Amino acid sequence: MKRLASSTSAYAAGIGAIAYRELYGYLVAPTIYAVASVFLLVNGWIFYLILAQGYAEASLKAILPTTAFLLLLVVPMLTMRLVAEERSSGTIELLMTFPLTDAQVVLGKYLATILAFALTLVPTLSYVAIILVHGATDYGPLVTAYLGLLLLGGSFIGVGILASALTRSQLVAGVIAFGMLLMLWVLGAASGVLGPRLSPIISYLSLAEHFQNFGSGVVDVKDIVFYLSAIVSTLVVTTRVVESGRWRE
Amino acid sequence: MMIEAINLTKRYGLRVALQGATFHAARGEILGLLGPNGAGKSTTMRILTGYMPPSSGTARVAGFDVVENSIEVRRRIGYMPESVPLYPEMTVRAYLDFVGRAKQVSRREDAVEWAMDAARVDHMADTIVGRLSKGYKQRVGLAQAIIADPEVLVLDEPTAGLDPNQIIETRALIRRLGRDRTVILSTHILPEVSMTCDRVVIVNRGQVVAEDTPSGLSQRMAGAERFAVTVRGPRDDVAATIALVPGIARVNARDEALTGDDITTYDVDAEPSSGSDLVEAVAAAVVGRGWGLREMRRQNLSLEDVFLQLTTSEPVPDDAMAVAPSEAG
Repeated sequence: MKRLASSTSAYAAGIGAIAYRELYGYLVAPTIYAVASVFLLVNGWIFYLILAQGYAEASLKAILPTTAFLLLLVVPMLTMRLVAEERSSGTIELLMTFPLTDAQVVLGKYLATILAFALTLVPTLSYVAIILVHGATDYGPLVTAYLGLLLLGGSFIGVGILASALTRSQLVAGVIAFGMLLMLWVLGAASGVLGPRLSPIISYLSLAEHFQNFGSGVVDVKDIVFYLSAIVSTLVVTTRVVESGRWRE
Repeated sequence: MMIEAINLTKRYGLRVALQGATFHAARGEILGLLGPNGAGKSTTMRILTGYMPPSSGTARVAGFDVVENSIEVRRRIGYMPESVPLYPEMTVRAYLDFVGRAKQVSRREDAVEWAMDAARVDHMADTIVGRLSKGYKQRVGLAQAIIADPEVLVLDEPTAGLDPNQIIETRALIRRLGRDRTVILSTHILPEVSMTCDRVVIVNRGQVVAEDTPSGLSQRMAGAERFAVTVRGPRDDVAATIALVPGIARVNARDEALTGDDITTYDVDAEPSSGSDLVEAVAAAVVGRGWGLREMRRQNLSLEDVFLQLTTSEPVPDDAMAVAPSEAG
């Protein structure tokens, strides 16, 4: 039992080492500040427009579709370098000779990115402050909105890291990630024309469909399971892609 | 045995990078892998460090198979790849701290200080890696390799791109580290192995062509000699005639447009232990054809020449000296 505990903490320490480096990379490079600034500027402007139009309901419901759509653009810019840059600069050769499994490397990178993503969301808490000042009494929808954003962003990041593992070029990785996310986003739009059999399956796979409930304060286990399985499956595939790189190199 | 490679083969698609390489290194030994670029040195190191698996054959480090027990192997190895890939945005200390975390070094702060001290980058601790010169990057590469105090050091071209002072320093450091560790280093510079290594494995075109101590190698080549012959006569005919003399390994006509009048100097390499009457035989062959023998001079074989003799199997074309191993990439 003790041995299991120590090997588990060693495993976590390995993930932590990778996460530490990635976070360091995020915070000293200008990318995240530029991306976050643009995101917050556009999102804030639209939030202002909503308020200025005299939107009465004290919740984030009106802004969330905009925020979610902006994340389609923001997340690929955060994830595109993750593996592609290590490939193009050659640092992957050293990284993959450290006593870490490929899964630890992928998990560490994922963890750092979700933390960086959460940091970019922090300034949006000012919207919450505004809503609270204007007399919100129901905190539930505010909490579930952020839970939804984290799950949505988390699954976007999973798709993004997978795209980054597929190529040496950061630009190509970004384009692939954006394309994949956009496709998964608009799947729901097609559901009406595909007939009664196919429609529910296609709309189940749409990243957008599962996000809607969170804004109204409804947490459905089905939605959480959907996002978690999206995250797990993209990370598993990413790990396989990274592993197979050892054979292709 | 600390390192054992048995029949290692690596194919990249149709290209064979390594073909049945077998060698070993004992505990505490400094082994040099010597060969021209593209000989398979880096491929060998990438297999030994667990970066990629061989197509066939096996390798063991400290008794652990590099494929089956990759993580155990990687725990015992410090590796410096040829291009010394570092993260340019990190400071030297932060980078080494990261490597210490990744390798789960205990008492990490001390280990970072020790490694920076040993590799002489301690005064650059807070400099961003991307701003370091090539020589300092090389030292940081070495520092990250030794930080976990590994039993085995794998260094791919550790002195490439350094200035003479840095080369001397680096060699001294490797010798010092090699006292109680197994070191395997690659180089395409022959003097490097004679100065640093206990034993040399020469690889060419993916195969091990020789294995010996540096002094043993020199002895093996002791019989080989080179001399320069200056002859007045038709260039190609003269070269062909000299090449036909028994015991001659190769003939290179020098490019000497200046001399004119059909006078050319030829560098003639004798095969090892071919005897001393070779000079006479060459002279007789030239004179026998009625050409003017202007000069014959014996030359000392450099270590580079020894290397070329060992690694080239077929007659070398006229421009062979242009791609002498010291210059090849």
